[in-house]
Amino acid sequence: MSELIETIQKRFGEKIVSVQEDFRPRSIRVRVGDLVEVMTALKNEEPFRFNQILDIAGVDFLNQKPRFLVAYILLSTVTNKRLIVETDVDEFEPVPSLIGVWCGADWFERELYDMFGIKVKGHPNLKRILMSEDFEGHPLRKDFPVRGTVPPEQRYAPWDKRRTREY
Amino acid sequence: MFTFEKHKKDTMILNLGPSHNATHGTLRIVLELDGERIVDASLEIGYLHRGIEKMAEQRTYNGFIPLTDRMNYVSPIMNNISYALAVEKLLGIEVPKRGQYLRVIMNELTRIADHLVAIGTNVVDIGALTNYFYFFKERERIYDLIEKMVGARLTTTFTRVGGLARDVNGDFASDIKFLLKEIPKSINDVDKLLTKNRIFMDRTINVGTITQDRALEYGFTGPVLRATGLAWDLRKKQPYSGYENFDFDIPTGENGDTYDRYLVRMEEMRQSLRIIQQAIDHLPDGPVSIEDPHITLPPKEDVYNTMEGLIHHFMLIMYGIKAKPGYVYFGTEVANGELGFYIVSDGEQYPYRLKVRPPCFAIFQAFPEMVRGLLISDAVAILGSLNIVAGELDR
Repeated sequence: MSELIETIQKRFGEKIVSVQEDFRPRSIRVRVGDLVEVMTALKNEEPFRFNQILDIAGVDFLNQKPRFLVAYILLSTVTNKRLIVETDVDEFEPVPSLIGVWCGADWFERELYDMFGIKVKGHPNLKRILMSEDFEGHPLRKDFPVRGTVPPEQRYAPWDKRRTREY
Repeated sequence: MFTFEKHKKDTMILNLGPSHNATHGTLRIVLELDGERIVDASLEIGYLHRGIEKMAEQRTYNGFIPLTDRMNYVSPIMNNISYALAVEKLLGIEVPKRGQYLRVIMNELTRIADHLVAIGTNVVDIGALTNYFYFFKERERIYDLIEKMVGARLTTTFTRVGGLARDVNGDFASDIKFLLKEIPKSINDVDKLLTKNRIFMDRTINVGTITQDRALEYGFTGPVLRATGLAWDLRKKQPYSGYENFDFDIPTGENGDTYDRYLVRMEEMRQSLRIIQQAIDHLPDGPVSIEDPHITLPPKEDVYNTMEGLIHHFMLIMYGIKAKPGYVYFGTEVANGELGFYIVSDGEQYPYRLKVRPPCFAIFQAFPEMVRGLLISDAVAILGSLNIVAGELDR
């Protein structure tokens, strides 16, 4: 077991559900409720100092319970270490916002909501970011079709009767 | 989408984009102006969203490489290399020395090309047109070399998982040596024109300043972070693809303003030339790809003449590479910062989930904070200095 994971387990104890050391970077799994507390400590406390959040990635395991995995990819420029913090959420269950910890989490959380429909509790401006506002569905969910069809009423603009070509 | 709810009566709303000369791609900035001062800015992105991450789930690991060309279209080879390294990390393989060195050479050449475009277009927006021509002459030479190597200028698809698409041709070394002679001339010319230029300094010094703490908290990487004074470069800190064999420095700035970003990029080009010089001097012989029939295609003689070769070729084309269940995150230092790939595999030939971490995405969200209280012309200068590439931003 690596030094970093050992110190994390010693510091957080029960809060760490599991650790994964076979893959790089190493990852720890926490419950949604403990997320903000663990993240705040990981950012500010001395042996960890993960001062950057690089990305937030959602993964949809369609037939599992809980359905989604949210991976927070952290980097420390102080200790030159990487860590992934994972948490599980079910459909309709929100994750807490981390804007209070790293302000850079803002757009990553909006993307998470846009692509997976995972609500972020406490986000001041939770809107779609890459898709348009009136888009229906969340494209990176596994039950979202890869190839869609255009409904008949949208095939040509109704105000433009001359356009007969179907798109 | 921008709303007028909070809009005060005595301010003016100005649209910069989605299609504007200074945006170099399609992204929309809504500026709220008091006279010519910027009170606030709101950003709207997603105009170039093509769903690359969804498409990746339907493609084999090698089949995704052409899509990485379309992310940062200013330096496509760096995306190819970054993605290939991530998948190789997932598979637990390492490319032979010659492949690594060729990757380093092309990586640094493309970094120079990216910085040439970033600085060139940035100063055009500020009003200095001459430098653009000095730089684009060199960029054209680099792109000619890339075309000679891979047959395309922008859609390179340079790498394969486990190595390169093909070895370089015979006069590669002499071409590189010609570039190493020519590029510093242009850099020095532009250095003389800009670095001590009164107008350029007035337009860029103390414009778009960001402190190191804020930059780190926003997730800044690359030249924009280094301009704030932190010597953070993944090529040095977490070496990959043989970067530990080369001797180079990490240039840093002090104030984190537009001028420092320009200086950092200029110095980085010189350091890249140093790396290329070392790599071409010590370019090893041997294969460019690993020889594993489950990962790389066998040579054509084997496919035509042996049963095993034909089977391996057929299996790899039809079923692709299979990775063990697991995940990987691998980040490399590209021209704008850290480009990372988070890949989750479930043991099939397609990635279960592939998340791209583009460097621009984290940098661009700090734009409103940088432009508040400045003039419209400063907003254009800052936007150019951040080097936002919409294809990478929206994926």
